[in-house]
Amino acid sequence: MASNNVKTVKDGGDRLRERYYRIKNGLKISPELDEATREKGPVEKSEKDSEPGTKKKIASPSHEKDADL
Amino acid sequence: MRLSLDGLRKLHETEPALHRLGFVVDTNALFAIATPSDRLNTWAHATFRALGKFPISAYSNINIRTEFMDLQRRVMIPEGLVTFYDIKDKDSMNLHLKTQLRSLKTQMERATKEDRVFKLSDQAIKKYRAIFEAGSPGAWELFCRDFLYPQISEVWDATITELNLQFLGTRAIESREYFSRDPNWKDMTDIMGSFGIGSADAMIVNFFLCSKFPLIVTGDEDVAYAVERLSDGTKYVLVPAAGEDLLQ
Repeated sequence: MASNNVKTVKDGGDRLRERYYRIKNGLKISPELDEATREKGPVEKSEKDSEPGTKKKIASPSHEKDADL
Repeated sequence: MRLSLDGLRKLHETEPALHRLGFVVDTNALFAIATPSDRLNTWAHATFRALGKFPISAYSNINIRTEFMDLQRRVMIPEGLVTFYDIKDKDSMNLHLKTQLRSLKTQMERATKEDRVFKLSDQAIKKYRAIFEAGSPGAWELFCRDFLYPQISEVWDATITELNLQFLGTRAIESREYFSRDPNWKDMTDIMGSFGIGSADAMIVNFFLCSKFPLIVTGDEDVAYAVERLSDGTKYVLVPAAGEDLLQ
């Protein structure tokens, strides 16, 4: 019973800490962000795999190679 | 002259200007108390609790506010990125983004283990923006809206309200109540040139040296060092005690 009468006096530092965790724990991904950060579908993914920097670069025409000189 | 929390009570008894005018709080001390994950949070909290007993006013200025906000940005963005990574469904996540964020999480975990504040440079922030935008134009702004804005938008107001922090602007400097001379550009560049410290720190040091405040609370070694060298023992720097490292 006695412990119920003991009140912890919070100071500014305590309230800043509470605020920090309240906001941090409330962060969530909006549907728009979720959609914008999705991996593209299998068809697009396979197209992406053939973008420059992968196999396509090996087979690139000579004028692309010239650009690197 | 440096002092730790133990020396604060004695200073309060012997330095009337501290009671009459108050003290200046540097960026890192404010950042530390507003950020529980910061390694100086316990020290900063104990410092404000001790100073709050007296009562004496705490002051900041535009340079401290600007540096505080940028520091928050550089810490909140990686924290937000890792939080995003943790809660996002990995199976549906953009592959390149997933790889980069997994690596970022590893770096952050290492920093936490080593008791370091994990901050991103401007260059690194631009890199993550480019990765988000490459996946889908507009994605970076959506990330900021969801993970940065809710944290950063009111952090300064909350900090000054909770700590009852006073702001010193041009009018306060001109009134000469708190200042003996105007902080000027040449003094600031002299400080930069003499000690090799950054412009933001040099401006804060110059501001403090031009003021009548006897004490600055800082967790920044550059600020503590320059004040100590330039004040000839007439000003005090409250820093973390041994074992509570200053920001190097």
